[in-house]
Amino acid sequence: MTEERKVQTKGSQKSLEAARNTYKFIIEDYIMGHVHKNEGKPVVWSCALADKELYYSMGLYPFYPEQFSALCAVRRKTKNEGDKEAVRFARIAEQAGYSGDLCGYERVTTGYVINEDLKDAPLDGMPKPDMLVTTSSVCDVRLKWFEDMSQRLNVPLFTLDRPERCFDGIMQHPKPHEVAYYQSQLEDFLSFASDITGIKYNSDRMEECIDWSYKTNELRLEILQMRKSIPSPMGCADGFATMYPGMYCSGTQKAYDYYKALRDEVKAKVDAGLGQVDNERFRLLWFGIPLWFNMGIFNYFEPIGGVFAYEPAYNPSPWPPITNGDPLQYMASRTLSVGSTMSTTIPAIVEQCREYSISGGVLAYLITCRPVYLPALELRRVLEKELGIPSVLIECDLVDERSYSEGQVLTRMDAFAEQILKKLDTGK
Amino acid sequence: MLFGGIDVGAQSVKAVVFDGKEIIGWKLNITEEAADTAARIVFQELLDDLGLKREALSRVFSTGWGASAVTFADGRSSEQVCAARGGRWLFPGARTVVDVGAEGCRVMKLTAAGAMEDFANNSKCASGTGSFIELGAVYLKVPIEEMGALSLAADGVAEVSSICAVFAESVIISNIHRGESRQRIAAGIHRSVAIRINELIGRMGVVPEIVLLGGTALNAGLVKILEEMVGIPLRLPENPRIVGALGAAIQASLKKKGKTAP
Amino acid sequence: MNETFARYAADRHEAVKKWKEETGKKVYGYFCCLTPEEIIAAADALPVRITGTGEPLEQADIYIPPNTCPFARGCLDAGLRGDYDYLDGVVAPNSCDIIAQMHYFWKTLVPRPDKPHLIAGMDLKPYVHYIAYPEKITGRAVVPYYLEVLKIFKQELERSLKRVISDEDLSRAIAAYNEDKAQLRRMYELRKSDPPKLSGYEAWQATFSSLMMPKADHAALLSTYLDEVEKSGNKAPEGVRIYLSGSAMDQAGSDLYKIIEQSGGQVVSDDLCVGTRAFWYPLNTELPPLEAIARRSLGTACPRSTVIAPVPENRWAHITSTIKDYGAKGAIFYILKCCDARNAEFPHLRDKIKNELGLPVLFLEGDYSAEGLEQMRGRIEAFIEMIEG
Repeated sequence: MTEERKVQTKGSQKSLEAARNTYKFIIEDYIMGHVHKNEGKPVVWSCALADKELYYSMGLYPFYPEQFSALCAVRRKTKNEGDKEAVRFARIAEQAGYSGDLCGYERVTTGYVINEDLKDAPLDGMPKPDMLVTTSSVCDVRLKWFEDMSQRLNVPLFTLDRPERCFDGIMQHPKPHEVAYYQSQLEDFLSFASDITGIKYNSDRMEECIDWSYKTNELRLEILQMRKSIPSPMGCADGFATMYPGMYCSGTQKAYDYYKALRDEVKAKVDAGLGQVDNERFRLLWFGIPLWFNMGIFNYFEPIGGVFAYEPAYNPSPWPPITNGDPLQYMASRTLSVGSTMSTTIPAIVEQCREYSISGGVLAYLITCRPVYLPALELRRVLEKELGIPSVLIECDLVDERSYSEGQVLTRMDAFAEQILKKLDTGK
Repeated sequence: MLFGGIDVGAQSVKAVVFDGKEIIGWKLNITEEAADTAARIVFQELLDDLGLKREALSRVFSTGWGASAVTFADGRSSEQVCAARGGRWLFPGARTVVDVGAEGCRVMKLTAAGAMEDFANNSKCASGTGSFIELGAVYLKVPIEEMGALSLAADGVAEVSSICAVFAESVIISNIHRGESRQRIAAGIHRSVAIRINELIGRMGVVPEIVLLGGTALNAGLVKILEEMVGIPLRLPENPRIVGALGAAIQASLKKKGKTAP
Repeated sequence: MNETFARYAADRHEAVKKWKEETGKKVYGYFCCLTPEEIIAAADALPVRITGTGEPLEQADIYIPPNTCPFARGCLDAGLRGDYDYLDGVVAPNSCDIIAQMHYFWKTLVPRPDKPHLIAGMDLKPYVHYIAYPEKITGRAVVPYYLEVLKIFKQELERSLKRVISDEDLSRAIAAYNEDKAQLRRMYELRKSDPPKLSGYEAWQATFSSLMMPKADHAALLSTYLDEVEKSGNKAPEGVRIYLSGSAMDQAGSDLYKIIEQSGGQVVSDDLCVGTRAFWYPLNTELPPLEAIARRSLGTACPRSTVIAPVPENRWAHITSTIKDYGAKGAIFYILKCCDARNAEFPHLRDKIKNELGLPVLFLEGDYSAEGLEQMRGRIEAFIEMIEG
């Protein structure tokens, strides 16, 4: 095959050491997962938004197809040659009849599963699971996707049905019937997992995990507060790089230790008045999941003093204090405190822009990710109307770089930067 | 007995006379006339060439995009079925027929006995069709017939990364500005089209023999890249653009009734 | 062809507005066949299915991105244009990611026809209601949960309409719904014969109009109509027996029935939310009425739902019976672009239908427009020709 130039995408430059080193954490997680499997211990493939303490308290080793798809978005089978793994797997799924409009994560993992050799993937892939867990949170594709995988892998599936809370505003105490329902899901999952693995649910162990996750969450909230500082001590490249332990290992000591170190690093920067860059002129918000194969975009405006200061995705919400009662009831009420529809997303972004001194929004228009693109035009309209803040839409798939049009994206980014600088210079 | 087939396509209209065993004659006209007129003209010209009268033909079937407009046809048959019939008749071992025309790309899957059992079309856009190559010819300022040779002369392949033909101009122009050679750009265009065609073939399954129809089968550059991707040689008819009309004539010879024009 | 059904199918807004004028009653618009519309009917209001226009969008594109489900965009556009000005309320359940957000879009963007009944900032009459429909429709806790959701919805309606909805009201509504379902089932029985006694398009008109009319009225009309059909020996035009499945198939998609007929096919059964799924599940009158409604609503085998077992047997059972019992020879799937739930289940479902039921399957990617349908004619003709042999 003749040689060709690759699409110009690249990884990001991170301003924090912890961010730069997270890849080691991830690699170790994968290695330990395979070790765990080889020792005959149970493995679960889970969607990103389940309550992780369920797994850690039950001795289940979790892998996350969404995170795995993001990994595939950056890796090639052979270094510097051929397509990214995400593209290879997405093609397999599309050949089998899955529409190209379906969620990029789904196409990648489904293609990977259809490919059958689960080791034919970055980091030796994900070990064959003993069970699959999904939840309805954020998007409904996950339900069908995991249903489909469950049939292909012939592995039992549990769906945590989390009530979709629709109210005007960002947080609201959940109603008793909502808590009771989600609690029943957690209980049913624990019996399901026990039936499969023979491991009994132990509420002390659960409380231990919740203790760790609560403390970890507090650290993450502290970091979020510090990110409001000017200049911005921690950007989106750092944020997306460092969300892994909190998202995927919540309930473990290793996650807590990780964020302690991160918190200390960020605090040191804030105390010294140091920012991501020396020449900070304007701060941006990134809405949505990033383009995993082109994280370099977060450095794009740095030469002109533009930094990405905040990203709502993957960041924690404040949790109520741990109660003395049933830990499962606590988990249910904690998880249901934040609204899950646009009646929450829209006012939330206005608040976020205020708190983080945002001058502009970059809205990821992820063409196959419905919960991210659906609010895009409304977000833009509301930001302009409520805060006079301009936004730009970046159109692409989240993991499938075939849809990335460098010319189009960079033209839009440049025009957007001009708009922001003009506002800064003229005050209009 | 003689049978006629007329294929009214988007850019050209083709006619074939078939005697149940051989193609007696064929004609292809590039035309901008309305479908029925264009069909009449090409059909009459073919009959004149062959010294035949209309009455000499037992049945005439139409196919193609404008099939239903052909008022003098005794029946009509879908493009997929006609392409499959024609391809199979020319290559008795055909199991997959790939028809890449100006407007669409479709793949027909045949049973071992030669009946069509499934088909797939490209999604509604020009990528993966002859139109993309035509656009390339326009922006590279070469006659369409030379695109294949141009790409074969390339020493590499330019990145024509856009899936969408709407961006074709900007993608090609930006390649030119980057200093890419026209040969490499042509190769990139062919590669992009071949990828889409290959994906469509993959959806039906790569079952040899694979027959390639349509004007693009004359494009040696595209054929080469496509063969590399599919992994096996493709069977190429001598006159790939008239296979649909041939299929219609075969359908006429087999069917006692077809759908009449509405 | 029944005149009333045809009138509703041709211009559903006119027909409903006329009814509203004549009766002076309230009309609520709702999305999706899983909505517990019986509660609305129990309050003596008319629940009508919200559909789009299938025409090019005039306004919705400003607010809702182009990748979004074209049906949802069409519905919002109709709302923005004022096509639904006669509605007294709108109900948006959590059926799928997009429809769930119709609550936000409709509430924020569609002007409320009557000014909010504000008194010192207090409004007893919310215009848009949200129903937190569960994602998993089986499980030990789902009925108690959903009953609470329905109680809240019922309360909201009571406050809006300033009347109590009693168990008797609910039971009366249930009886009317069951009667209409029985007639619709009867109509579908008539499609089992070869050729079916009425065409796919005629059947569509009857099911579609039932979504806009009080059920008792519709049942009476349908019963008379079917008596005539049976007596007259009416027959649908001959054609290859087709099973139709897909995303919303309202009046914007009904041309598909005609295109299939013109291509030599005849739709004999379906898995559509304006087809079988709108009426297939009867209400159990031995249960307390609100629970009967909850169970009917949860029992809707829409692909958006998941169940405890990973293989949605409820869906497969529904699909198998509507294919086998109707002698279908080919399955056509018309799935709207970006309809994730259907696109995700399709490859498996297609293989199952091909391998286990021996039916060829045609996939059409829909864009909810008339031109889009026309472009599919060639494929439909080829598919039917392929089956005929």
